[in-house]
Amino acid sequence: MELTKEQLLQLHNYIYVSGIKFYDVRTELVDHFANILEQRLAENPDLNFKVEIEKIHRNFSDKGFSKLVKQKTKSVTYKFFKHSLQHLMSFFKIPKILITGLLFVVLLKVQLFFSNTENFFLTLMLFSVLLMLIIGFRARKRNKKEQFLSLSLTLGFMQVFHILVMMLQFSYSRSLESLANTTHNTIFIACFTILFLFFWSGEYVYQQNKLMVEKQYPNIFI
Amino acid sequence: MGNQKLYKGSLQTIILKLLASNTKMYGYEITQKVKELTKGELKITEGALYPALHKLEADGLLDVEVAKVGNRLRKYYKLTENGTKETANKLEEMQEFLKTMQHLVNPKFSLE
Repeated sequence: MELTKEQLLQLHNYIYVSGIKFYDVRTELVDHFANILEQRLAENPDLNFKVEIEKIHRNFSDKGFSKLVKQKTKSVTYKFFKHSLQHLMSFFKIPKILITGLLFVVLLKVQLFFSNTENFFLTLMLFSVLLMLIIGFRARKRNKKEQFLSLSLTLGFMQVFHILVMMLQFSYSRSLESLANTTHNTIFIACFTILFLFFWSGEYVYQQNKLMVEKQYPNIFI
Repeated sequence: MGNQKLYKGSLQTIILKLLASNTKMYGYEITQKVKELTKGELKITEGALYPALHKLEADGLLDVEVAKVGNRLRKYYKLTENGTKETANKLEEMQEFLKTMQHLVNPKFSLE
């Protein structure tokens, strides 16, 4: 006796409120619970669905789902670093390195067109703040959809970008003397270029990880 | 069952052996297969099975495949290349362990 969509939804909700918010962890538990429930309902169709779910949960383990979540997080983290490193390696190909190098050179040249160097660096700062806002906005938007542990790790990793921008903001408070120093300006532009590269590669890794999750869980709203 | 503790250390070997014989399996199927093969003598609890599966997955011994079955998704586990090698090692270790135990508890009737 196969469970109905409504019963499966009830099961998903029960496991969600029991602390399993990530879809990739919940799916396996839903299937497991559903298998047991189907067997029990086939033997006795008059059983109370909710009571049976609670019974299965109680028999699961002395510590509920905590051990499972701990081990699953470890497994996903391992895979996340493995795959992210692979994606990162595939990102750093010649064209992207050339574009980044070109960006650095272009910025060095563009600053010469600014009569006031301070305005140029202020523009760069505003641009990096914009990138930071984009990450924050996307993380907020993504959190409203179905959450996956692997993607949540990528988003967490992207928060490093916020810290780097903050560090750059701190370094922005430079003296007039420093703004007139070519070496200081070059270092600042190099830092900005690295920051941009970090944002770009982070977005690339996120999209690649998302593609992998979409492939594994088709038709799920990510 | 008092002897459940004796099986505890062998859970990973049991899972690997089952997957070596069945290509791919899902969690509930593993619990049922063990119950069937041992005639109910060994019952794997879900609280022990899933962390063990995830550990083997993290160690690169298992790979996963998600498939739609009826109204829901099902996660299947299968051995990786390393998993196949590790299964052979674990089974060999298990045989050695059984022999040693046999010698210890019943020196007259060894497995050899």
